[in-house]
Amino acid sequence: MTMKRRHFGETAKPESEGLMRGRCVVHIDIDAFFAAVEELLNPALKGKPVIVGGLPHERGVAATCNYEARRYGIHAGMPLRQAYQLCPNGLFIRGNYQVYQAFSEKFFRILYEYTPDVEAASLDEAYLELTRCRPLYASFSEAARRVKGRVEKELGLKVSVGVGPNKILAKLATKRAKPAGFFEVEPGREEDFLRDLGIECLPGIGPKAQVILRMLNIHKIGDLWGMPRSALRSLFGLGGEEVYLQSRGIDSRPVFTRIVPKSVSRETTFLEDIWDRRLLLAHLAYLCDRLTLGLREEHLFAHVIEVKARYSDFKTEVRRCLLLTPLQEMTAIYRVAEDLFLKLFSTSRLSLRLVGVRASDLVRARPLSLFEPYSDREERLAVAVDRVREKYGFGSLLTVRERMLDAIYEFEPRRGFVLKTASLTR
Amino acid sequence: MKFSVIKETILDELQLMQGIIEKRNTMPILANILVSASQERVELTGTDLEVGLKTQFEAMVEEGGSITVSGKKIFEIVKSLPDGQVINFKENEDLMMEISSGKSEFRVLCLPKEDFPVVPEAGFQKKIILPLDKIKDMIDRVYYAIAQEQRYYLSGALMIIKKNALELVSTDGHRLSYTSAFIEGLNPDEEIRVIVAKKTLAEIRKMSDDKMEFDFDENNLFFKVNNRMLISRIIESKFPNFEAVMPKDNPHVLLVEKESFSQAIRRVALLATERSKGVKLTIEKNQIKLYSSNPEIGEARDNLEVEYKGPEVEMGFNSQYLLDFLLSASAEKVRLELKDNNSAAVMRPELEGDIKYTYILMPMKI
Repeated sequence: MTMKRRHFGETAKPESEGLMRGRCVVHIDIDAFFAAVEELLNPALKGKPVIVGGLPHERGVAATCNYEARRYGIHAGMPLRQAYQLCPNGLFIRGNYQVYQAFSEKFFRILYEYTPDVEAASLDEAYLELTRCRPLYASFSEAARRVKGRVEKELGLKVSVGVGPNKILAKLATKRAKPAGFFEVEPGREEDFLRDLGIECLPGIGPKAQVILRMLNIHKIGDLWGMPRSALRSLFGLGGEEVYLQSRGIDSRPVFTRIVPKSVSRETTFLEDIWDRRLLLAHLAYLCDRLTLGLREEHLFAHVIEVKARYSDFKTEVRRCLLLTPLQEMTAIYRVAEDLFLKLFSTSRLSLRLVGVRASDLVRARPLSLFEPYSDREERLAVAVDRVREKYGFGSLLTVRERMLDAIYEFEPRRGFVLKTASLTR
Repeated sequence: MKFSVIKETILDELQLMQGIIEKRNTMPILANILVSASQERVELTGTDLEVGLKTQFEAMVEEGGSITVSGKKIFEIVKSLPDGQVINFKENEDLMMEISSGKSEFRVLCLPKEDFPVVPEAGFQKKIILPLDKIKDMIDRVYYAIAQEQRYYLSGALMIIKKNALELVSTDGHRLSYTSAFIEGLNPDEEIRVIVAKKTLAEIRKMSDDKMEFDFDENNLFFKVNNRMLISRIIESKFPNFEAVMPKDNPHVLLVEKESFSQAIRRVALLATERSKGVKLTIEKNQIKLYSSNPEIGEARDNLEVEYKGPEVEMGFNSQYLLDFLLSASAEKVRLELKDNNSAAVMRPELEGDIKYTYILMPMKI
């Protein structure tokens, strides 16, 4: 054995009865999410390379692609033009973020039926902590298989599921399970599981670290076990500490059920550069509308509003405003955003290729102002608008300014406008 | 310029200068202090253009003159020299100041005195004399409610001088602190209302004597304590109309023991969210329930006996804002006067001393 027992002594060793005694974390990930949704909506795409993110001549990157496209070497985050060169026969789709979001919401609703401890890692990826729900299930692995079955049946999408005693092992198990598989790191088998995995599997090891480690003839996770903690620390600093623990399958991070996000933002790259101020403001209003919906769902108020503009020459400018009283409502946030945008835009004669709005310094409570009379008018308006939209869809109630986007985008009464898809890889 | 002085005499004055001089490196001359010697006296002047300090002390002056030198360096040098020793200061021809004491010698680069901004003078003709200790107590009660962030709000407190009374008011937009005191003999020609910079208030707190003389002109306020004079540029902003927001008819009054209230708040606040620090108070017959929760950590509850007979009221507050008042109120019990969960609450000490103290606090939607 290349590894000495005492190294593993540092883990919370699962008891002999199996995982039931320790933690159980399930990692679940929808395979090629955006592309899979597109295939589902248009079965003619099946079996062909599908790239979601934009058309080949358009700017931007691939948000995701299916397994057929991956065979050509395409991956998420790759510029569309390059993807096209690799695979000219590929089917390029702009995508519809709001449709994906609807799928994602359904995905999470199913997960919450199995445990309240769900951490959203992204739209299509989550950690479930089943530990507290032990009495509900015959075994954890059976519960995890049931989740997988439910999601696949109800969404019609393939998912990969990994089960382990903590987040890192569950995530690595999912990697092993892909595509569409199920893998459980069984108690006591952690070493065997980790030993032959490539070092690139560890989230703490980026491309640079890989190069360094390969020079040291370290290719597999098992090879890392021979490296002393101090050596990893001196090579990679604090990240080395992380690698040391990860390589031994040690991870005490809890599954965070609800994290207060650092910021919420919405942005879009236009199909063509825009110069018309009114049209730009229409975009800004629509983004504010989507943004504030996100804030209200999370019950958050923003102390800082930021507007971003990218000009046709790729120069990006950002303006921000600090608010004494944090805001949540669309009407109020749009007023601030418009003000910022006009200050920013009036200084330039170039047209814009992107506009975005971001809310940060988020709090869950709103302190009332002593000198501005208290009014819940805008709050009540927002509640009423939400109620209408819940019943008739987001597009059922938009401002006149927002409806100016009719000239550019497809409009769906339920979902609103179909803006350019944001990349999952950010 | 050439003079000698005992370390302790100049050290105290240099120490005070550290709070005045500019620390950011915007204009080098503002990090300097002006040292002027004439006829057995030395005067030091420092300013950041908003707040200035002039201070004098007696010294053996051999040669008059003035020069500016880094306020930080001269302080550090003087501080490092042995106690009780005579220190000699001398300006030499190539714009250097020589500082020597015993066998230690320093030569420090200076800037010409002509570059130093003019710091205004006052005649103190108005004869407005204020009791310093009382003023300091009053500053303690308003200081914390001055906005932290200058970007958000005006950074100063309103001072009102009227017949036989002095008032200080501060606010950051979410709360307001008001103090007033009876001061016999105050008799200005007309009521004086000026905004005093936070930094000036901090400097007044450091002074000690029994009285302080006050004067002002169009642009500046002057506070004189003994040999020291603070000069503070008047903050031009309009102070919010605080009288209009002081609640007059908050019907529900509760009395609570100050110490146990602040301890309970401190405990519950441990699990409040870091940024908003919100705690929820549910006030029922003869008790307050405290609650806080942070989705990332957990939740906390506490319970306290109080004197209260009104209806149930549930309100959220910034826990730090509650504690700020409780820490500065010198009474065993405090009154909390409430209306509803959208209206300002009033807090005051149950028994008021010769300084009246009222704290207005807006609730928080949690």
